[in-house]
Amino acid sequence: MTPLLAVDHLTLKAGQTTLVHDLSFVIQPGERLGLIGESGSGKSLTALASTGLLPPAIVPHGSARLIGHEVIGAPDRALNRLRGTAVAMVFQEPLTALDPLQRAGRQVAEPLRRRARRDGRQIHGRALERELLALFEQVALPEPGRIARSYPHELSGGQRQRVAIAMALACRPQLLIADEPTTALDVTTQAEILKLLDRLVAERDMALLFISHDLAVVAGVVSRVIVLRQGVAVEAGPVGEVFSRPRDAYTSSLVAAARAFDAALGGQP
Amino acid sequence: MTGLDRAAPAASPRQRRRLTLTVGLVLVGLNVAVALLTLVWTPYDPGGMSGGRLAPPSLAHWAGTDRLGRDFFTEIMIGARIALIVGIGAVGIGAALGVTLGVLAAFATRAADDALAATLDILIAFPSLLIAMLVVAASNSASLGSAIVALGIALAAVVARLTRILAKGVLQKDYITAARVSGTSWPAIVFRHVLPNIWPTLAVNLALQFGLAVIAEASLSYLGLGAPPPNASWGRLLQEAQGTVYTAPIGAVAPGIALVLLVIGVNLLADGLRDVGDPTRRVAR
Amino acid sequence: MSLISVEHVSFGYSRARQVLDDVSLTVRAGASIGLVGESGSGKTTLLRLLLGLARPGAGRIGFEGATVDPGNRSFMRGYRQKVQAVFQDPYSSLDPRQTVLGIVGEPLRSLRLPGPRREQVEAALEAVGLERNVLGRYPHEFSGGQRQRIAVARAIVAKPKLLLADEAVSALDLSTRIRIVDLFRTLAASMTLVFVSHDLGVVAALCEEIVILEHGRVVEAGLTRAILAAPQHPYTQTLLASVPRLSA
Repeated sequence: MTPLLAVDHLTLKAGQTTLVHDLSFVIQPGERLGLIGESGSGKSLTALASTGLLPPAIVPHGSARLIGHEVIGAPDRALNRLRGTAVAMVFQEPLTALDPLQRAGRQVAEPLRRRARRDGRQIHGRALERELLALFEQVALPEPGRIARSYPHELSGGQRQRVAIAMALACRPQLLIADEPTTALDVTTQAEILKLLDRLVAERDMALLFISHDLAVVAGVVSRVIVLRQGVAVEAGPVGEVFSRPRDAYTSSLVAAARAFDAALGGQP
Repeated sequence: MTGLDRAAPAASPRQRRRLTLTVGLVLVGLNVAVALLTLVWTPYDPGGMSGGRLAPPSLAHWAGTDRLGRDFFTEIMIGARIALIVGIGAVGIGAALGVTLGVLAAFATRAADDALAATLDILIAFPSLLIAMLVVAASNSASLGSAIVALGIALAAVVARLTRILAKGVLQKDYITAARVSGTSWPAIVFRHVLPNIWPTLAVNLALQFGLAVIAEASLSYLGLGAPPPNASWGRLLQEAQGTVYTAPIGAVAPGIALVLLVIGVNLLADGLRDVGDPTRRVAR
Repeated sequence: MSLISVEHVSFGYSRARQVLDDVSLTVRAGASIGLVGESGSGKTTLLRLLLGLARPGAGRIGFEGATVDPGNRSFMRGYRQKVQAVFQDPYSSLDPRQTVLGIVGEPLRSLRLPGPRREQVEAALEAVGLERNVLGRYPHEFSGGQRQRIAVARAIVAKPKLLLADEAVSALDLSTRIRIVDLFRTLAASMTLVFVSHDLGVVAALCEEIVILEHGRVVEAGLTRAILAAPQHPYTQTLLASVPRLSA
């Protein structure tokens, strides 16, 4: 089975500084992998490198293959086809991920139309609108018609993130990369978005790469984790095992911190 | 560490900035030096007729003479002094007036702020030259002073609008709230927190306005609204050279080049100075 | 002894938009209290009122018995020495053009507090775990966690009685977060802490008492342990259920 994403000895450098060092991992179709790291760990850069979206100042070495196609060094035209069909990304700050000058509906309609065109069918007008509203319903947006007509700043943080997820799903990707998708949200909204992601990934049989610094958030969504520290993978394994029996000192300290907050809450309600 | 990551950039940003600053300093410095020099010495007495009319450049008169026989090189040198006076004067007035207005507007109530913003926009919509002409005509004398005041006022509107928007941006930051919670008074907040943080963008803009003021004054003089020789600005010299540009081209070329060099120098200096005094440009340890 | 008493405070920008509606709570000296709410709960506005940055539309805020009057300059000078704050965003709460000495020393300067300024600043920096040789450095040279420490140093340099923290660790990574929470815990020994946050886990780790805000109203209040063990109000229950846990 061709892995959806195969990262092999990936090293990222900016000038003389090494940001990610010799990272290797594989994501099979339908798999859920968590990338845990704090600021400076290189977790976001890894995601960008996997989709060929690295800023020019950062030089990649090694290999990253999306459905067998090499991403590192590939020309943009080849990457564009891949990005729409193979992978889609959801970012942390929905306010900057969405165009503030376009209504939400129009922004999501674009990838919908593009994806349809790639599949060989033209879709516009009423049919496009129907698919758009159906997509909005799938991401549990109440009053999809009103949301479609709204500008990003008129929506709440949770609604914006749902729109961003809808945009990502419109491409019907095989792999969904979510980079700190709930960090900027309130705790109840976060819980809803996590549940939504969980359901959608299962329903559409997608693979998921979930990036976060919050262990508890990751624990509920993925089956395997890699812990990154300053660009180096210090631990990897099934999530239950890594969190209950961490082998690396850094992972242990992170787990201890997460458990401290858990303990303060007094165990499961 | 492979050779791959040793790629040395052709000209790093820092080197380019330093070059910009250096060239700017040289050009402006040259102008300043010449201006200062005219206070104590010029090749010939400024008002005196020392040679034949419209004589070509020679050893005696490095840039020839003007249509009344006065040494042209002396006139160019004096033009350098006039240009500096105009630039500094107009920018000084514009900055003082504009920054004050802009800061006040940033603090104003919604209604007052809207009114002020509208007024500024109307003022800016007028070509500054037109405003300057109005002021000069109203003051009934084509003198350097009235031109400087006129340009300063026109400039103030642009500076005020920029200051207002920059100050508003700074006032939204948490460190302003923190300053209030620390007990800092509003005037102290303006001087300690707001002005230093808007200074980089403002400084570049003021330097650009310097160049624009010099050109604007040259235009005023060209239209006959500036002071006549011997206190002539380059613009006035350009106006006088109109009739004789084919027979004595240096009459137009020399002041033209001088003008261009000064304005370019000021712009380069502004660009280079922007990074001076910015602590974030320092290398993080 | 009640340090702060919020008595039937309401605040709104218009009749329709009431941000705070009849909010009452008491902060007792020495008992750290958490104000828990999400966006739209009014917690930010309540914080601003507590800091004397705005006046309540209705009701009264009392400090050690006296009414907090933002217009009374001499009262506010004394108030500001006793009530200080740490804000959420470490990248926006420090003036990028000031040195650490200037930033941390600002309350001393503005409130005209006596004593050698440099020494007091150094003492504050030491208390937050920063070395004294950072005095001449600028904010951009520090990480998020270190910046937050600088912000805390600024808040404690005047030796306040009450320290208000507005989502002070929300923008930090997990390992930094626990260290700053530890710092606050240490400080809670010498001053009263009011911790505003939407993160129940952090509040639970720091505060003995807790007040839950929803849509500008207090929906539940009391001892943290009791409320966490048996939350009464449905919103509190939802909040508690929403906090992600590290499953064993």
